[in-house]
Amino acid sequence: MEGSIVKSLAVVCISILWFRTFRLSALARWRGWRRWLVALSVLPAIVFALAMQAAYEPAVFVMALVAIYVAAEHYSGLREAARDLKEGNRRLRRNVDAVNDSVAVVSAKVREATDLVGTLLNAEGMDNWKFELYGEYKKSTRRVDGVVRYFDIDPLWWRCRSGRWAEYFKSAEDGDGTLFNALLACSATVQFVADLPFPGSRMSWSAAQFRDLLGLAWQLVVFAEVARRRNNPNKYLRVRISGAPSWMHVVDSATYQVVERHSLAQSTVRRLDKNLSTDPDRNRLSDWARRNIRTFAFRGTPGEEYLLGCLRIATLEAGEDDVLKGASLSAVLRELGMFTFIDTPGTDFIIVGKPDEVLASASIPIITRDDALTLCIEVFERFLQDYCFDPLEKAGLKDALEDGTTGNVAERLA
Amino acid sequence: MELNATTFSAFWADVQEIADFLTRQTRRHDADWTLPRVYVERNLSNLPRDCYEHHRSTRAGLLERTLGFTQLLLTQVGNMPMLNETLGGALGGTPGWVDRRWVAEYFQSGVVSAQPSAKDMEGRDGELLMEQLTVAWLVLYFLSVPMGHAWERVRRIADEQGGYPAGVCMAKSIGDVYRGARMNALRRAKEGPLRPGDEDLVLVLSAHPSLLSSDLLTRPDKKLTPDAGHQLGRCYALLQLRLLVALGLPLRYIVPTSSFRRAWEYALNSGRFDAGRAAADALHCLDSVFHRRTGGQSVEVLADSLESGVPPCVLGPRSGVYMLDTASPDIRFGGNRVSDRLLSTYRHRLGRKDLGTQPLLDQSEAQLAAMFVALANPGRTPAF
Repeated sequence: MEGSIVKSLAVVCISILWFRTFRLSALARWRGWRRWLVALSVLPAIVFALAMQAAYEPAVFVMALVAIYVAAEHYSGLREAARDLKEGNRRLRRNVDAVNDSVAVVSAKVREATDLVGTLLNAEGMDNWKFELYGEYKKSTRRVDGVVRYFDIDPLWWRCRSGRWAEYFKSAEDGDGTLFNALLACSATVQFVADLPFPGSRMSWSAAQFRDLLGLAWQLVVFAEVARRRNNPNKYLRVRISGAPSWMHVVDSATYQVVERHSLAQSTVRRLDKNLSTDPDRNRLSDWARRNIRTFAFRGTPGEEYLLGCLRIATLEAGEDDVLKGASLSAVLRELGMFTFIDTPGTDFIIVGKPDEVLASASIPIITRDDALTLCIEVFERFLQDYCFDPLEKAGLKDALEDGTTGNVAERLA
Repeated sequence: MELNATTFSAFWADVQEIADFLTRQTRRHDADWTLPRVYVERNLSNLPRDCYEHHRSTRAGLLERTLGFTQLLLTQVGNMPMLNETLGGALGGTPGWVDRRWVAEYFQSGVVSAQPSAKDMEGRDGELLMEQLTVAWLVLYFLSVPMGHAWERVRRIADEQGGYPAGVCMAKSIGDVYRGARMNALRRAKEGPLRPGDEDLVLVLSAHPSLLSSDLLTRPDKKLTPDAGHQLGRCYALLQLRLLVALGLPLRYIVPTSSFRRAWEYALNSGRFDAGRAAADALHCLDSVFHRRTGGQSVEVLADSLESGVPPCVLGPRSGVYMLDTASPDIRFGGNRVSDRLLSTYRHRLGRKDLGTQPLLDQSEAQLAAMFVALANPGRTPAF
């Protein structure tokens, strides 16, 4: 019995020795001093096997040893794999950290570059800028002076169905992101300057040119309504037509500049005072930009005079007599390119049933062709109503109206 | 279409026709006077069909020609000093405001009888361009097509040159002051009744009182552009003054005797000032403008020149112009707008009650003649 216990203990010891030896040896791949360790663990096994030869077949013992060897190898293989995995993970984490650092550096650089080069005025960029600008309008208390190359019309306008202007003013009053809402909150004097073309003789008006006139008329109508609600003649809102070469927009002390490229979508807008830390610096910059804009505005003429002039030329070319009669306004606007505008795909609206309807994004209203026409005509109808002389005629100031050109007053288009 | 002798003569023939028409209209006495415009279709619709069509096509032709001419001026003449600087002098010649070929074509067209010598023409091409642009603007204005592009170009050149040449450009800027004052009042009136007040007061210290003499309106000018253009400008200024008066806005029109005499003698090209004739003419002219006068409006003569150092000027509530007393055709510079600071100073000085002026309105012809006799004898103390 005691002999068995001793033998068992010897087997256990030899097994442990073998397991540890071959685990270590597997790691060490039989190199250096470990070779001696192998020899050391083989020696007791041989002695034990020979000593026990009488008791049982040594092959059984060898088989057990081989099993131990395989287990040791397997175990150490697993350990090795786990270690490799850990090491790999560490390396990977290091790389991820490095990449993150690079991304942060690149983003900072991109931000810096965007500040320097500006935001691209594609559909998304334009929306973002408009959102930012309208926010500035709302905070503004002194002056807004801007050069305008594109008279933006709120998408909400194209969604109006009944009672058009009344509906627009009602919904836009609380609608964030609309020009009307922004200007209602704004207590500053507002002056836009636009460089619109001289209408030469027998000019054929393109869709883009009609869009300029439509946008001008639309904004003038909004200006008139805002002025009515403000009821403060000293804080005017107006548009001047003048050859302003630089496209800048100054709201109190915030200065924006648009760098123009081939098309609006390729142009970029940049806030020039972004990197100026002190108020005096910002004020100096905005003062300079405002002076530039106002110089051109000062030499220019009111937007309503320009628009009425264009309407008069078109009236004559359309063979119409009096543009104030609703029936002929459509014919006059045809001369100015209204139908070309409606039938040319643009960013204002999409006509139901046109091929581009499929590609429409949610932000562009989809309307019928008839609705588009009615909405265009109603912009000009309301413009004539607001800027022509009806209120003055009622006040008995007929003499004052017999001036072919207008300030806020026009006479019937003859 | 390009700018050549033919386009110049066609344009100036139109200007002559319009200037003649407007000069006749400017002196109308009827109570329902309104701003005359060329070919107003509204009044023509009662005409027989063929007659109506004729007027209509005439007007369309006139408008088309003027638009075309103005566009050529705006696009082909350019902004030469800037362009020449940009191109590094590649355009050749001395930097001027216009292309020299353009100037040559203009004089070849024969719209002005005498072509100035090269020496006389030196530095005056800007003046030539400004005058034509201004006349183009005026023609479009009287055709009821107000397009600011031409005048904006004139102002750009004036800003660089320091002012306007005497003649049509100056007359147009004077008319604009009257018009600005009127528009200012109307803007306020849009929301409520019009109540003219002190803030609407227009002050004039006249150098060439076309208001007092129809001969001054049609006086000959020895300028680079034909007289018709300058006449058109004076009509514009006078018509704007008439509209201001008709609206009942306050006006103080002061005529220094020395200026009136000099201008009168120059206009008639005769050595002697004829008091009787001047009085009859003045009464007739004043009557046509002030047939419906309100309390705040006055025309006054000043026995002597003003001592306070105010130049001849027209001062509206928000803008004003000063001018040189250019009774001599050698003076080419006409004047410029006055800055805001100067405007309030001049307004204060011209608004004073103690200037020693005498009213001209509500006087009989005999009283006026007596006044002018005194004026005709500058050696004696005036009788008023």
